[in-house]
Amino acid sequence: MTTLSLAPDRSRPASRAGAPPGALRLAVAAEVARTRTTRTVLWLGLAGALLAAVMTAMVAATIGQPGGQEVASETGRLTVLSFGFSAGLMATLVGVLSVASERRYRTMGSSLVATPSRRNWLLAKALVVVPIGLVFTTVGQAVALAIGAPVLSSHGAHVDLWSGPALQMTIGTLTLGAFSAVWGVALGALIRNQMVAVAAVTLYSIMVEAAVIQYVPAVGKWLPGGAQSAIVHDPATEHLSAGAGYLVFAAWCTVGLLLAIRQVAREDVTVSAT
Amino acid sequence: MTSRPGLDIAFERVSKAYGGRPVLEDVSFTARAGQVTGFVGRNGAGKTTALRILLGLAAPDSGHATVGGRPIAELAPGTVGASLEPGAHPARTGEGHLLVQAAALGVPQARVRPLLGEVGLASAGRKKVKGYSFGMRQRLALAAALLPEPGVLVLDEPTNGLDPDGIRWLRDQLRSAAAHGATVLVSSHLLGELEQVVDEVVVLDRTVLWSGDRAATLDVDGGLEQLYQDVIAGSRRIS
Repeated sequence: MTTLSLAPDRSRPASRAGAPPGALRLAVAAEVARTRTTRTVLWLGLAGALLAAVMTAMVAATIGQPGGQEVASETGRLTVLSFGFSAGLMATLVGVLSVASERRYRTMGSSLVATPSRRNWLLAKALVVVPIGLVFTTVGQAVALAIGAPVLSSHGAHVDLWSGPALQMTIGTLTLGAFSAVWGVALGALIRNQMVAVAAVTLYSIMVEAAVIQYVPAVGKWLPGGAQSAIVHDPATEHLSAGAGYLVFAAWCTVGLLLAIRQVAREDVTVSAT
Repeated sequence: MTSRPGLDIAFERVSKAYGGRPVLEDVSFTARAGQVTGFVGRNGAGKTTALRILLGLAAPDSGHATVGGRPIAELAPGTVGASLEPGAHPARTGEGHLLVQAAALGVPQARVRPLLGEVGLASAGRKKVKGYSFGMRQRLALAAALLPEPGVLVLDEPTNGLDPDGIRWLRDQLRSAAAHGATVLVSSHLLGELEQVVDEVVVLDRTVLWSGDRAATLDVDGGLEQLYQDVIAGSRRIS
């Protein structure tokens, strides 16, 4: 029968060994299934490609116009081809939404019952968004090159895409998506409201951080966005070397994830009380 | 419906406060394998908080809640099936929701379709959850809890939103689970319904006011409902 007991020692937790073996693998499988069973990633990926296309086209349209984009210098030509990185914002949002949507739609409780290790739950999200982010910026950069390169050629400006700064920029843009998505997971965990998280990340990236990088480059180059500029070899900003950019952004991602794991581990998951 | 062994659920001197306001105080009781334990109490009595602590969704200020002597985080996936609220991503289909849970628990995907049929969602499995009624969401949440064929079932107000057929189906599920050795801990405000299915009853109001087996309710005119009223009114104490 149901009995009242006053904490007999024999029924204390038998071990503190942590999650059972294979728990991270299952958490990753669940995260893959989450990704495949909604169209969020598809829409954000399309939005990233569209953003890259629109920004490239807008800049390309100004070539040859008074006050428009100059393409006489290599920096000018690279600028026309650089907007694949804008898909990185969508990669960041994929990471944000992977966590924030679980809070918004109150699925976090059932997710954590199935995956009790909150560290594994968050790490699985970070692992799964890496290839997604990579695809986002790969597609974004492909779109930027597909639009920008013919336009440059039509203006008699040539860029060797397979060597030098153009290749460095392309490789940097591809890897940027992976880093950005992990950064998004950390931000999504740290900012508990989905709408606030999406708005804050978007406004910060587009306005606040961009302004700091532009007007206070000595500070801006150390920010996540500054590190991103270094990784993609952004011709329009003052930035660190590419290697330093990778290290700085990796540090931001690592610190962000550690803080996120710490916060999620301490969080009381709410459900509707009855 | 259960393929895993039942394990005792034990709350041991669990206390929890929010913002200095105590929600649970020194809660101790055991729900045993092979039995259905009813968990009752008025709104705000702390039932959901206690279940959240058991499931690792909230940390107690003191004491601990375990399943088979271990925190839930140390158990093999699928040992515990739980439904605390009918939450699912609105853009996901019912089938998709269960596929996510199946992946997390290492349950074969082939179990999802039959289970949807079992809970009465066969024709709605490929519809998005945003089009579900509350009752359908409740059925989906119950399907998720039953998915791993758990040895321990923890359900918070599982009859909310269910039609009479659904309530009867659930009653049969709970009895069947206990008969196969599972541990069932179920909270409900529907005392008449609960009385038909429980072996044990725990009455909570921040702390355990009363606990005992169903036979005790049979000695009371008015059954569990009257016993509950007596306990809440203070005329009955911990048995």
